[in-house]
Amino acid sequence: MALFKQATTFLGFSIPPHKKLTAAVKSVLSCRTAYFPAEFQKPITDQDVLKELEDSSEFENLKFQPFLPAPISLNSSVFYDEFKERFTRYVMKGGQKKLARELLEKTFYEIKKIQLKKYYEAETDSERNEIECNPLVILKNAIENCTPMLTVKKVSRGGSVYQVPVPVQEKKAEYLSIKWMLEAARDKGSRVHLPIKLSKELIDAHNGEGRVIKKKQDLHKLCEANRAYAHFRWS
Amino acid sequence: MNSAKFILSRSTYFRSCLCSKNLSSVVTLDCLTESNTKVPRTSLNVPREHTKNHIGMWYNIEPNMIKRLFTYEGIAPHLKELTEIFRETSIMIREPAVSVIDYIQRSDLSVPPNKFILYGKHGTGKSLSLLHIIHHLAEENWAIVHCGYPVKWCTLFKEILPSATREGYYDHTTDASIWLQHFQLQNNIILQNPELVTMEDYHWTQREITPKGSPLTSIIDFGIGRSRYASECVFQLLKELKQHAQEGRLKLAVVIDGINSLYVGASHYRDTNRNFVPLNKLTLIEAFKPLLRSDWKGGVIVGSVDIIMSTKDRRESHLPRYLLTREGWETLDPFVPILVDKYSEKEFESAVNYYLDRRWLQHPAGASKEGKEELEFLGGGYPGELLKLVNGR
Repeated sequence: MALFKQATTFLGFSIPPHKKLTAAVKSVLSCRTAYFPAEFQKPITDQDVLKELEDSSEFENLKFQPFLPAPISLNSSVFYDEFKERFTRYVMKGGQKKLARELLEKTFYEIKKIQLKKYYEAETDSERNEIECNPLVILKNAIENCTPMLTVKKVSRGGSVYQVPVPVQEKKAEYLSIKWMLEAARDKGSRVHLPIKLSKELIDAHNGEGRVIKKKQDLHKLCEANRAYAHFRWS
Repeated sequence: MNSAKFILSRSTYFRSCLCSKNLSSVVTLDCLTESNTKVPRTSLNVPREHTKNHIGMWYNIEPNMIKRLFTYEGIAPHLKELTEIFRETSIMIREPAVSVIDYIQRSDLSVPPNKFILYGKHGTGKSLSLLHIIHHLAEENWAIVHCGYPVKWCTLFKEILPSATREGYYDHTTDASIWLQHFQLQNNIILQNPELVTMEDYHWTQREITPKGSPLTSIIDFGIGRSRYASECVFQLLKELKQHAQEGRLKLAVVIDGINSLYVGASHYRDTNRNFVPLNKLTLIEAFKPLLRSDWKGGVIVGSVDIIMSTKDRRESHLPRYLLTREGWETLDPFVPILVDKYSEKEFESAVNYYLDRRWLQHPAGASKEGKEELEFLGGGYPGELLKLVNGR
C-alpha cells in the first residue's frame, strides 16, 4: 500500500482505491521498485561465449561493466537450456520446482521410450532418420507448432461486443501455447500420471496433429471469420 | 479477399518474428564421432571366460536365459523396462562379479559353503553383479535357490494366514507358490535328475501325502497347486535340497539379494492382538535361514546387503556388520566381504558410451568431454545416479 501511495504522489494525482491499476501506473511502480540501474547487464553463463569474449577486445571493457546477479536457476551447465527452464516454471505449481523438474525429466523419459520404440521398429534407414528422438527438440518444436499468430480481443462498439482479430506478441503467443499444452496434459484421469499424458501431447504436436494444434487452428479460423471487424482495432 | 490477404501477410510477418526466437534452435547428434563413443563389447557370452581384462566391457545375455532365470524376479522393474527399450539385456562386466565367479570356480565343495557378501552404497550395482553371477551359476548347472527381493514378503506381501502346519507361525500363500514357480523355472533341467527324491514322508493334510522316494518336483507341484501349504512346501523343499547337496547329488547355490532384510525389522502383517508379526514367525523367511548356516557342504552362498532393504531407522551405514545385525552376522560368519564401488574412469566412459550407443542419452552435449565430466560430477560416478541423470536427458 505504501508503494501505491508513492506511485500516486509521483504521478501527481490520486487514484481512487477501487480502480484497478492502469498499465501506466504499473510501469511507474516497476521503475520505482527497480533494484538495479538500467546500465547493469545480464550475466553471461555460456562457456563458449565467455571464451570468445576473453579472446576479443571487448573483454577489457567488460571488466568495469556492472552485471545483474544471476537468477538462482541460471547456471553454466552444458545441459542448461533457457526454454526448458521456462517450461519447467510453467509446469510448477505452488513453488514446487523440484517436483516440476522431476515431472519434466519423466516426460523426457516417456518421449524417448515412445520414439525409440518407433526407431527400432523402423525397417529402412531413411525411415529411421526421420524419427526425432531428442526430447528437447520435440519439446521446442511442439510448442512452436502450437504457437498462435493471431488472437481475438473483445471490443465493444455501439453497445455490442465484437471479437476483433489482433496479432499476438511473441511472449504472449508462447504463453498461450504452453498454457494450452499443459491444459491438454492435465485433462486426464486421476490414475494417469502427468508425464505420460504430456509426452503423448508433445509428440502429437511435434507431428502437427493433436488437440492443441486443433485449438490453435480453431482460433485462427475464428480470426479469419471475424476479419470484417479487424478495423475496430484502430478505429 | 483483400482482408484475407492482409491477414495472411500479417501472419507471415509474425511468423517470421516467432522463428527468430531461440525456439527453433535445432540440435543434432553430429558431434558424435566413432572413436569418441565406441562401446567396448565382448562376444564372450559365457561368464566363465570373463577375466579382469574384460572389465568395463558389455556382454549380452541371451533372451532364453533371461526368460528362464528372471521371469519372476531378479531384475528390478525399471531396469526390465530399459531392457525392453534397448532391445537387449546387456551387462557391464565389473570387478566384483568377476572375482566372485573366480572364487566360485575355485571353491572346494567338500567343506562348508563359501559365503560371499556384496556390500556397498545404494546404486553401485550389487544387484546387477548378482545377475552376472546367477548367469554363471546357471551355465555351470548349479541348482539355484534365488530370492530376488525378500522385502516384498515382509512389507508388500499379497496374503498371510496363520500356519496350518506349525503352531504360532504364519504362512504366505500366493507369494510362496510364485516363488516355487520361480524355482521350478530356474532349475527345470536339474530337477529332471532321477536321483533327486524325497527322503521322508510328508503329511500335508490327512489325505494329501507325499511319500518317501517320490521326486522333488512332486513337492513343488503340490505347493503350486495348494497355495495354503506353499510356505511349508518351500521349507521342506529347501531342507531336502540341503540334504541332497550334503550328499553330493547336486551343487547348491543360494543367492539372496538383500540378506539383511531377513534379519531386520518386522512384517507389516498384524496378528489377532494387533501386533506386527516378527520375521522369525514367518515360515517363508525361516525356510531360507538354515541354508545360510555353515552346517552343510556342497554349496555356495552369494548375497548382498543394502540399506534400502533395511528398515527406515537402520540406514546409517552400508557396512555388513551394521546392516546384518548381530543375528545375521553370527549366522553368516565367516564370509568374504566384497566391495561394490562406484565406476572407475574407464567404466564410466564405457557406461556413457553405451547409453549414447543405445540412443538413450539424447542430449548432444552428453557426447562431449565437458558433458561427460559434468555427468560424472553430478552423479558422483555412481551407476544408479548416472542412470537417473541419463533418463531425463
